[in-house]
Amino acid sequence: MIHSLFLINCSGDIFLEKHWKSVVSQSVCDYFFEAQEKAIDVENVPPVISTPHHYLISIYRDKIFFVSVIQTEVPPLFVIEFLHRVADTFQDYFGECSETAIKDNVVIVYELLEEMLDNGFPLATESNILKELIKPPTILRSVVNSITGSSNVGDTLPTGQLSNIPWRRAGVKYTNNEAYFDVIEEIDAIIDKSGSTVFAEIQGVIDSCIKLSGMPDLSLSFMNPRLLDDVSFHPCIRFKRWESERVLSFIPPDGNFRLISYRVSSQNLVAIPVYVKHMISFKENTSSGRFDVTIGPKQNMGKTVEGVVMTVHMPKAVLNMNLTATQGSYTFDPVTKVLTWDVGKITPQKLPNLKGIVNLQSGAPKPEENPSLNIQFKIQQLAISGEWGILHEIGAGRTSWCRK
Amino acid sequence: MAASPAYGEEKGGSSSLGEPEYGHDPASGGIFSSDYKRHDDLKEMLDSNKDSLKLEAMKRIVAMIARGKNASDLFPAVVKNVACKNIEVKKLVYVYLVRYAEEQQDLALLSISTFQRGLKDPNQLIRASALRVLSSIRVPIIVPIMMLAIKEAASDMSPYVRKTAAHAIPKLYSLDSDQKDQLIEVIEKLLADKTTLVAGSVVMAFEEVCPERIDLIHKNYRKLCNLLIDVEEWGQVVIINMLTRYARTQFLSPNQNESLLEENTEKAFYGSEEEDAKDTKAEAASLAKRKPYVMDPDHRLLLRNTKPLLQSRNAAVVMAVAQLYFHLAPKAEVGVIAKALVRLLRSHSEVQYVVLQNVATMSIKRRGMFEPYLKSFYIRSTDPTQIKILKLEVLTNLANETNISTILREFQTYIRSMDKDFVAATIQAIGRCATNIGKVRDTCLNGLVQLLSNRDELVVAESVVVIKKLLQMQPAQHSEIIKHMAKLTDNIQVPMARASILWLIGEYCEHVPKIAPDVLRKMAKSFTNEEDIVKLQVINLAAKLYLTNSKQSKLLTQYVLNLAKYDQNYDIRDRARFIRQLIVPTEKSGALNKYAKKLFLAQKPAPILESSFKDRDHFQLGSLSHLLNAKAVGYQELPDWPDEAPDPSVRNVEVPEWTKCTSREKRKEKVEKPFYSDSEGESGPTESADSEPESGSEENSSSSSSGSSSSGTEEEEEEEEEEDSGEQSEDKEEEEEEKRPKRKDKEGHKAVLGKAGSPSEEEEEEEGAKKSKKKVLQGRKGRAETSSEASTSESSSSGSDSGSEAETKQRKAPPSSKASSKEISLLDLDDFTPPPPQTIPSSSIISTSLVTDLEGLTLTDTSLTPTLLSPAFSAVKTYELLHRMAGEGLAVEYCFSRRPFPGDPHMVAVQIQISNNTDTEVKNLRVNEPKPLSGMRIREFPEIEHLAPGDTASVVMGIDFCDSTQAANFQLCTHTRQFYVSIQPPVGELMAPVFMSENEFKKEQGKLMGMSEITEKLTLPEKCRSDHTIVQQVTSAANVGRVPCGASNEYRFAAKTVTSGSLVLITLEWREGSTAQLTINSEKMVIGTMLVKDIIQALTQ
Repeated sequence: MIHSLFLINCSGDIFLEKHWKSVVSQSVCDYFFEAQEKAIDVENVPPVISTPHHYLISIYRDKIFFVSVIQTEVPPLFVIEFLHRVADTFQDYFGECSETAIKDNVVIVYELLEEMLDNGFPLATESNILKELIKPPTILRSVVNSITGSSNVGDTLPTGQLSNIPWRRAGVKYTNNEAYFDVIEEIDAIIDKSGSTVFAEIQGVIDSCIKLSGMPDLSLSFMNPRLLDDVSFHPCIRFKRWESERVLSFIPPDGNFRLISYRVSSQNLVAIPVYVKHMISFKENTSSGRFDVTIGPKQNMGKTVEGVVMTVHMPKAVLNMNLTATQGSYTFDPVTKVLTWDVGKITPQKLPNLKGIVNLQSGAPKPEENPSLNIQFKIQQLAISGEWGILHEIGAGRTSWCRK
Repeated sequence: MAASPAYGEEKGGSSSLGEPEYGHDPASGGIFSSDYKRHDDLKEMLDSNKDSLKLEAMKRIVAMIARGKNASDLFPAVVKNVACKNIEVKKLVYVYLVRYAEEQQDLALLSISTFQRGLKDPNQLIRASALRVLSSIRVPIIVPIMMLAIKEAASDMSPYVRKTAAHAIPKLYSLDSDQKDQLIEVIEKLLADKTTLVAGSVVMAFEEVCPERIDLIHKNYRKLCNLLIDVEEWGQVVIINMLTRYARTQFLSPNQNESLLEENTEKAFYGSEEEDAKDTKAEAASLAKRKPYVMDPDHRLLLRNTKPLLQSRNAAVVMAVAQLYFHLAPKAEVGVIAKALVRLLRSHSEVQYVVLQNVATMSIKRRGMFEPYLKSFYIRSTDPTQIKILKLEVLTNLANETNISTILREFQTYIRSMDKDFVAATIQAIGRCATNIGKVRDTCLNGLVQLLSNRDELVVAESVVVIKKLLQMQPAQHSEIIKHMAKLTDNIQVPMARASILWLIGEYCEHVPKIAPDVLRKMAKSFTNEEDIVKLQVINLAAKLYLTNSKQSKLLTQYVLNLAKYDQNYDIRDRARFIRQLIVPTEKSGALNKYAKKLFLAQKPAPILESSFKDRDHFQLGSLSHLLNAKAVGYQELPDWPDEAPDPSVRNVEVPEWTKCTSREKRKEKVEKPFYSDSEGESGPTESADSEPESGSEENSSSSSSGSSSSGTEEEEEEEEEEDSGEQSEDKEEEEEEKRPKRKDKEGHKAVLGKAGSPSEEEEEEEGAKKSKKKVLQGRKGRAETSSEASTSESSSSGSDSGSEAETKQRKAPPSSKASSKEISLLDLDDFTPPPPQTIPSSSIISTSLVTDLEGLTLTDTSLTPTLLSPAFSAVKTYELLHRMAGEGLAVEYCFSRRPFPGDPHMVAVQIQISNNTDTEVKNLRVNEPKPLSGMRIREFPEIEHLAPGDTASVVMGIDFCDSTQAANFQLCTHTRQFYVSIQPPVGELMAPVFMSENEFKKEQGKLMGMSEITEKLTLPEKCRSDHTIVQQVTSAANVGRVPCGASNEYRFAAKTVTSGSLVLITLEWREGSTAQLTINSEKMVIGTMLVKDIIQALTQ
């Protein structure tokens, strides 16, 4: 299935390669570079590229391209999902999935890749098993290792791999048994010029951190499971029990994992907790324009809106912006034309406002379209469902809320 | 450091990274041949006795390999260490070996004996890893050794080793395809394996080696279907894809006779069990006589067992199930996949890309499926362009008469985007909508014409191209537009657009007789500066004008043709020569001249604008070939349905194949018998006794059938587990330990199953007794058995919500003490002290969020599991607020969403759905002058500024009904009209569920006796005699929460009124037969009386 994997950084260096079958030359990546050049934007590199002898399936994560080489028919999602799992594993092991982290831990990375695939077919992808096979690096361990010469490879055999619950390692012991559940919900909405919602939905996840000894069998029930319209599960959850009783029953993996992700059914109930007043105009002939944006809370049930950040992609004709913010600080990057305004917390008494003059390139026609505003914010413990991380965006009177 | 650049050049390394760690080596400081010296250093380290030095050396070598540098000259030094004791060194040596063995075949042979020894190791993991490395060494000489090793491993006792054997098969096959026949034998053997661990890997091997041998699947088909849900995710994908192909060859198309397809007949099959397939077959045969098309039960089995996987977290699994449903399911059932696919749109952009491609294909064939999710395909400005364009494709496919207005409005916003590629695609999409939906053609055309005055040239050009296509459909009515476009030739520079305009003018020159020659005149002037495609169209225009209006254009035409004659491009010269010969009459001109007009001005068919995704569904969806729209290497064609179904009896299984090994067979028989009888005694009867009542509704039938399938799986697993334990008991101690969790998992399942049927306590006890009997019988197995028993009682207590606290505790105590005395490792379970059961104190009322919902979480190891059975299944009832007629086209409905009203916990949330059926926009929709009765409060919904015709808006308002069923009256105003409306709540909606334990319930009930208690007797109708329906009926009648309860025929529910927070306690006691007694305790007597009526009505209806 998966023949080889190349990790490529943004400047086009292949900094790691791994082959599970016979070796494929690095030159196969030239096709990828070609496509990358054509796409201009990294986001627009097609995930599947066909070359005369191979197929390249790639993902882009944390400024790294994971490019896998395929020779025969395979479901593309299979490969994409696997590559993301690889990136997740790196994240899990090294705390970040960056080029430096991978280069610093190249041996562990190689050992991981060796365990994750056998002959191109996934073998062990559960973090619990992998951690039994290969211990994640910690500062303490690397010090100890360098003194004693012991290794990162676990000397115990991975028993989890043999069991029917491959996601949990055996023999877990904690003095404090604890289990945490984070409910994170995101609103996703598109709002039109007048502020009415075109489309809105709530998506949520329950992330868990379970530190329990032995083989705990948990069940989790909801007061109103009717809310959960469409749910996807971690493999540990018993489908049948959910189907018949709407109870989540599972033997959890050890440590952090995503228990379920779901969509809340009654989409039309979404109340959007902030509003934005915007006045952006460009004057004909004077090569300048006005910019005035105010953000205010609404229907937030007494909770504060915090961590507000607004980003705006200004039209190409904009040269510079002279603005004053009543709160927070703003930056404008004249190269990428991105305006970023870090607002912070919104207090209803004094609404944050950003206004001033936009300088346009002289002679250029005035932009016909107002730019989109992305606003990202967070509300802790909101009544609808706990914590919200939301990205909010307005384009010429059009708002859309996206995930964050 | 001088060494590294030199090295880099030599290897032509593309990576410009320095190698600082090598640079540090004093040994590598030499100026020439430095890398040899460095390798010498590594060799020295590898030859040393110290593991730490070896490890260091191997780490460096692996780092070199990772960067794509050649380290092959170290092979002899490395291969010596293959037998190293240090496990990490060993692993790294393996990595090296697998990478370079192909290049150094002779030396690689040195390592083989180590692996051969490893294959005989008593530890299964060492056996497995030896086989894994051995099979990964691509050295043709060892093919016979590999073959032998694989064969041996395929009958290994450990399923993990067998899994590795399955992985090794494709490796050997790619090394030497002559081994195919022998490998197929091994595959056949492994396909019969009953463990989930092996299933995915062997199917993978099957797909790579012999996908055409579909006959090997017959005997294993049912087993694979049943195991599917427990196979690891990657295996699921492979199995599902293979089964899709299999089903296409073995079953009849479910859509050939749609009208006659009846679900009810199928339900009959699934009551019966998988093992008595003969029965089923007979039934099927008899049914086949009666019905023209009846779905094969095996076909149904596949559909049913894959459906839950739509909820997998793995996008690849979801996609695999989706394609299976798309290709195999009856039309009516395909819809279920839409929701799951839409969910994947929230995933990484690469996943979105693939999913949208598939949705685009599906949406052409099954448009209705995705229509409810139309809005999920709306484009966000943060989407990458490739995603935007795919979403646009889907939106266009979904457009129809009813939703076109919303889609076009959405498109209007897209046109203003800054992303020009996307704008161009949007204009194309508008064109396609216009061609497909005649109703909006004029609107679209007008819109596109307006775009012609857009400032952006690309937009204009794209519009011209699309308008051209649209005009071809009805040119006569649009000469105005053609004239308008003719004017554009002065300004537009984009060649494609200019060419399109010229073609249009030429084609319809009769409609614009005055302008056409003038355009030609202008073009003739600028001819030499035009692009090639424009020049060709100028010649074309000239020719057509010459034929229709030779008086005015003769000279111009000749001028153009002369210019073209000396053009640089041979196409143009060629065209000019050809046209001149054709149209200008000379003595020599042939017969064609007469027909010139017919040739040039023939009626041309209008172009059909269609999706590029049309007909892509002949590729299996979700496959690479489908994505590329070209056959990929190794793609297995999805066969057409057969006309006649092949014999279904081939799938009947008599003797499991791999029990050939006689000694094991004997043991198995001995072991299996008690287990089977056990499981029958437990799951069989209970299940049939109270599988859900066949009320005929689709949902019920499917859930009851899934129940039966689960028991099928259960038994399979039971059996398999027995086999395992049989082997393991003679094998090693460590495996027993592993078995424990697994077994526990099983028991958990069992408990779930039992729970559905609420097993009586005695049965449980009996089972325990049986088990202990077995323990005596089975000597060595004793330990594992005890542990499983302990876990049984634990998990069963957790599973059943009917166990009262006291009872459960009592039952829990003995096994755990027994267990702790027996086995130390079991202490793991026991020294986990559960936190005290969390219950929300009765004062803390209604949950306001999911966070509080989570407080309902308890660890099942605790003595009490308050499993709330929720009103999950009941549909929300909607009431009419304003009829369409009364509201002059404005229809308003409301329902009680049963969610806490944000902002005020004393209010009942009323969800109001307003749809505008008029053909004008309704503005300023709001609530006016609420006239609440004393104490009643209304929180209005925010004003809806405008509601477009055909649109529906949904809002929430909060009403504090003061715990009375009095109606809340208010006015609903639009910008023109006012409507008097009132909302009257059913009594059941005036409360919110409360979470409490049984003890609390009893305590509270004790306080609410006498006057506050209302008791009523009722008779339960036939269909209302299962736990499930009773709970469902009660919870749908009133917004109450279930209280866990000890006795099996008693149901308790608790709630609080929303305004005053007074408790409402409901007890339903189910006596003999059909009689039951309903008791309601509440200090609000009025509410109590009304609620009694409502609940009785709900139950007896």
